[in-house]
Amino acid sequence: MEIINNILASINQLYSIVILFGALFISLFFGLSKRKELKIFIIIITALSLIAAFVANIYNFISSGTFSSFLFNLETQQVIEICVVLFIALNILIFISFNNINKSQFIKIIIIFLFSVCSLVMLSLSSNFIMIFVSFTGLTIGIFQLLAVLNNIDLRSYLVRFFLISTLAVIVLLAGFSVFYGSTDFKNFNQIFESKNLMASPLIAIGIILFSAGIYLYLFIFPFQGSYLKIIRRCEQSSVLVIWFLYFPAGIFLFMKINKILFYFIEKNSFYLTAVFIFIAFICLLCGNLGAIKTKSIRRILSFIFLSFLGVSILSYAMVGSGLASKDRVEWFFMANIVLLVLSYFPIYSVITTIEKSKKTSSLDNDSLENLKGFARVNKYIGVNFIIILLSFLGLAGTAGFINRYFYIAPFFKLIIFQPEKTAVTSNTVFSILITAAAIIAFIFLAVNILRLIIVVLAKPKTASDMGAGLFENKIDGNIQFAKFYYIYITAFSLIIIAAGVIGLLEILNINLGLVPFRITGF
Amino acid sequence: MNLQLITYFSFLILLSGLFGVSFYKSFLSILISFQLIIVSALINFFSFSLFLYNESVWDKTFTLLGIISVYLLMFSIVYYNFATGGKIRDKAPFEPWDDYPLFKLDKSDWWGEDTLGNN
Repeated sequence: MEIINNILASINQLYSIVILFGALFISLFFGLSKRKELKIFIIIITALSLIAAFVANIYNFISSGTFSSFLFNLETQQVIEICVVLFIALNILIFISFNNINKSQFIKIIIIFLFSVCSLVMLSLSSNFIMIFVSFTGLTIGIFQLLAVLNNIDLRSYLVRFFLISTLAVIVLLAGFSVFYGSTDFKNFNQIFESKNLMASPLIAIGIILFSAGIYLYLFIFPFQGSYLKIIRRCEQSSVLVIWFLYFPAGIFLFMKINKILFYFIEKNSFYLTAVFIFIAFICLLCGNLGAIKTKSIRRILSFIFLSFLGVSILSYAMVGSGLASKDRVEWFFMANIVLLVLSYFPIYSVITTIEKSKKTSSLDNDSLENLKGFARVNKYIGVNFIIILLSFLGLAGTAGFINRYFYIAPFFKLIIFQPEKTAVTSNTVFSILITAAAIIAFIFLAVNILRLIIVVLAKPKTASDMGAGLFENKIDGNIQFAKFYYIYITAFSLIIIAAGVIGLLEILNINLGLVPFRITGF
Repeated sequence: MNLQLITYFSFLILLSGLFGVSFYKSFLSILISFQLIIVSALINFFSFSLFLYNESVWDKTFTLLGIISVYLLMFSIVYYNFATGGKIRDKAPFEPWDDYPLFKLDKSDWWGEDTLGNN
C-alpha cells in the first residue's frame, strides 16, 4: 500500500498523462478487433479518458499548485495549453469516429490518435531538452502514422513530401539542440535564460537561429507552404483537423518554450529583430489573405486563413520589440489565436464535411464555395449558427473574435492618446504604426473573406433544375440532412463564442460581474 | 584536432546537408542529406562533451534517445513510401510523382486554384 501511495504521490502532477496512457493501454488489447461494439467501447473509453484528463489537469493544479522537476514543468501556461489540447482532442475524436468507424483498422487509428495526444501533452509539460525533443519527434511520428492510416495511397507523394519537410525541421532542431549544448551544459531553456552571461555567447545565437528555422519549417510558414496546402486539399476529412489542431499546435508550443530567450534578443537588438518579425508577419498576413481571396476551394480558404493567423501570432513578437505589448501578452496572443481558431474552425468544418459528404458528383470540387450557395436559407437553424460563428471569426464586438482584435489594435491608439504632444518620432513609433497598419489590413482582408462566405450562404439557393444531376442528396430544394448531433454541436459552439465574447467585452470595459473565476483577457 | 576545427568541420557538413535538401529532389538524395545534418549534430554533441563537459551522461542520453526517435520517424516515412509503391532508387525510368522537391515553388501555392491531380 505504501508503495502504491508513493507512486501516486510521485505522479501527482502528471495524472492527465497517466490517464491518457491508461486509455491507450486498454485500447492496445483490442487493436486487432473489427467488432462494432468494441469500436464503440473504445470511443467511449477514449472520450472519458480525455474528459478525466481535462478535469485532473485543472484539479491537480488548483490543489497542488505549480510543479517543477528534472524533466517536467507545470505552470499556468502549461495548464491552459493542456486544457486546449484535450478539448481539441475530444473534438477530433468525434470527427474521426464519424468518418472512420466502419474502417477495419478503426481501433488502430484510435490507438495512434491517443499516442499523438499523449505526446502533445508531454511536449507541453516538458522542460528538459531530452523530453522536449523526444516528445516532439514522437508526436511527428504519431501524426504521420495517423494520416497514413486515415488516407488511401493516392495521397502518398503529398504525404511523403509533407513529412519529409517535417523531418527536416526535426533534424534542424536536433542540430539546434547540439549547439545549445555546446554553449552551456544547461538542460533547459529557463536555465539558459537565467544565466545572463551565457546569453552573450554566439553559440546561443546560432542555436536560436537554427531552432527558430526548424520551427519555421515545421509550421510551413511562407514560402514553404506548398506541401501543406496540397495535402489539405486532398486528404480525408478528419485528417484536415489533425493537421490544423494536433500538428500545428506542437510548433506553436515550441515557439512558446523559447519565448524568454527570444524576448532577451528582441530587447538587445530591438530594431533589427522587430523589423524581421514585422516582415515575416506581413508576408504571412498578405499572402495568406490574398491567397484565400483568390480561391473558391473552402479547404484552401481555411488553410490560407490559418497561415495568416500564424502571421498574426508572430506579429505579437514585433509588438514586444516596439513596446506595444508586454511579454505576458505575447503568450496570451498565441493561446487566444489557437482558441479562436478552434472555436471557429470545428463548427465551420462540421458543416463543410456534411456538405462534402452529401455531394454525389465526383470528388473534384466537393469543397467548392458554390456548394455552400443558399445553404443558410434552406437550413435555417444551422445557417443562423453558422453565420454567428462566421461573424465572430470576422471580429464582431460581443463575440469571441473581437477580443484578440481589440488587444492587437487598441495599444497603439492608447499610446497615441497618452503621448505628450511634442514627442520625437523614434523607430519604435514607426514600428508601432507599421504593426498596427499590418494588423488592421490583415483583419480587413479576413473580414472580406468571411463576408464572402456569408454572402454565399445567404444567396439564393440552387434548385434541382439548376443543378442538373442534383447537387445534394435531397434533390428538391438543396436541403442538406445534418445528423442530429451536429445541431447540438454547432449550437454549443455558438453559445461558447457568444458567452466568451460577452465576458471578454465586459472585462475590456472593466465591468466585473463575477461570472467566471478567472480573466479571459489576460493570464 | 582542436574543438574549433571540429566545429568548423561540423558546420561544413551541416551546410552540405542543407544544400542537398534544397537542391536534390530524389527521395534517396534527400535522405542522404538528412544524414549529413544528423552527423553534424552528432559531431557537435560528442566534441562538446569530450572537450568541454568531461563526457557527461546527459548528452549520451540525449544522443541515444534523439537518434532513436529521429531514425524511427525516417524509417516510418521510408517504409510507408516503399510499402505503398513509391520508388526509393534514383534510377530511370523515374516518374515525376516519385520526385520530392521539398522547396518547389508553385503558382497554385500562392494564387488561384490547385487542380487535383497536379503534383
